[in-house]
Amino acid sequence: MSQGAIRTRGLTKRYGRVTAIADLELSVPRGAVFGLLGPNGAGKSTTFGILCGWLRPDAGEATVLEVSSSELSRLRGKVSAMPQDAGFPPQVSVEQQLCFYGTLGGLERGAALVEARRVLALVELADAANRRGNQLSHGMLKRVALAQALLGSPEVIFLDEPTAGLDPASARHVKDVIAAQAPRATVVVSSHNLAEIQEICTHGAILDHGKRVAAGTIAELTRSGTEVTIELGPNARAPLEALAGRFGADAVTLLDAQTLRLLCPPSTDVASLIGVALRVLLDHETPILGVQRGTSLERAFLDATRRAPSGG
Amino acid sequence: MLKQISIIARHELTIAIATRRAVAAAGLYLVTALLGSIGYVKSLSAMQRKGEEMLAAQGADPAQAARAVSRATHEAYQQLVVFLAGTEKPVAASLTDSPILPAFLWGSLAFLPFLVVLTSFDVISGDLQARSLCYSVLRAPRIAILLGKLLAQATLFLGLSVVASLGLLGVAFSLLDTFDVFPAVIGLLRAWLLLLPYGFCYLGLSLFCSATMRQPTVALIAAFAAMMALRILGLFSYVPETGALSPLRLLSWLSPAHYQSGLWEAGVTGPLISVGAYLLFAGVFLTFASRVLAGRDL
Repeated sequence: MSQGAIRTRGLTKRYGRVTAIADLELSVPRGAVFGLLGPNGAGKSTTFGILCGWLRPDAGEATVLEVSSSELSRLRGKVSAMPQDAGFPPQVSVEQQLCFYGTLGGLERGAALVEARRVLALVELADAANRRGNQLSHGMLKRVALAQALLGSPEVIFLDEPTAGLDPASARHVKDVIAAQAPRATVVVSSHNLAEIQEICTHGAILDHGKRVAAGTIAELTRSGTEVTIELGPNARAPLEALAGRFGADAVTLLDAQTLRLLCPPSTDVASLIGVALRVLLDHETPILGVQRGTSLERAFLDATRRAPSGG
Repeated sequence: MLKQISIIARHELTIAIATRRAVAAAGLYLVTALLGSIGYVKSLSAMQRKGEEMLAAQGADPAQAARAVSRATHEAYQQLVVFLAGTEKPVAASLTDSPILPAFLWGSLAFLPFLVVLTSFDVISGDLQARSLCYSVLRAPRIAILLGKLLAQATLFLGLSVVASLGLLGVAFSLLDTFDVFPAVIGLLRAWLLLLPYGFCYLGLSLFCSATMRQPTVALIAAFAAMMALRILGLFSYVPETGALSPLRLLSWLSPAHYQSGLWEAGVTGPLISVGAYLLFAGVFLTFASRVLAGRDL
């Protein structure tokens, strides 16, 4: 995973007077499942579009497998993408269309047909092979688009909101299919669904106002190796003094009335930190509802984008 | 890249044939060509017969009447050819040997651009709107996609004109007593070869509009508007050669319509200049289309 599969340097894109992304630096290791996160208007779609070669940057460069993203067709079949809400022609069957993409990607016609059937089966749409683009539901179209992205087992796969609009069972299946591509392939997933990213991604970057505000492994982003979050019962009083005496005042923070955060000193492992903390809390008869290594990706996201939860 | 172009062309052709609009446009062309030809041939025969009857009623010798009507019809036909060709220069004999040819060539020159635009305006803009182009650009260069679509449309247009020509031959053969197949085939072949660069020019224009606009309807309107603007530009060739406005005549050189009459001319120079101009126009439009498509956001 050491060599970068995708890299951007000083990437900038403007739409008229609006700068969508500015001097963006990103690096995606080979074999990673990389989550691209950001609030609306953060530049996520623009970055995704440039990486896929659909949008032209105004400055800087983006490379995929060391080829400029504006020339990805040179990699013929090694890179694929699933755009959000792209359609398929209503005049030909889904199988014919996938077969076309397969041959265009370098497969012989017979092999392309076999491959089209394989990827349709992979997304559980073997029965829909002879249907046309206009005969598919939104969810089915989404899965055909994913099947298209898996054609020929590409080395890099870009997926834009892969589970948006899918029912829970289909979403679960799609997430499993995506996770199964790594480490053979590098997968970039752009999504608003933070729980999904946390579940399937190994790496990620958070964008805000066109800039990268955080990046790293999901463990680094959620600080799972350096931090413990403990959820206390209702009306509980956290024994802050006792905890501070044990771990140091700087290491203990009450995030809200019921959430306690403990920072793990560099020489301590998280498991022993959790053990000691729980013992202190139990000694003080503090009710505990849950313990989590690090924080949720949602909180990391909100911290990084400096936005408060909108309620709930 | 050639293989990719051929793969795209084959697939696009399948889609174009499966599209009802393309089939309807093809049918319209065929029906118009056939009905036009039948009407033209029938009215020509009726006029000839009526003339002979009128002369016979006035007591003329039937053989003399037939010769006189034939002569008059021939003169009227020559004037019609001059009118259709829009040139004072001699018209190629192969295009007038069979009476059905001038009507076919004139009709094709008048309606083919509309037909070409109607069948091709959404080949790129349709993909841009549906974003399905996003799938292809990762597998083939944008120029290959453009050329593949161009090849498919050119093949469709070729096929249409062949079918229309065969239909025309069939009509002429069954309706004209004096129809001579050999000169008609030679004339049709010449007309067909001349129509190729002509149609290619408007195909280039249509693809340029299609690559520029994301909405197919807007692409269609833009292509029609551009076609009309170019036709109006061509009208400047009627500005008198002397006078204050005479420099405007030069503007007509920028219009494909200016070179239309050259296609009819006898000899090699006139048709060659026109064919060259149409190929040049096609090349310019396609270069623009390629530049726009290569640089645009999808």
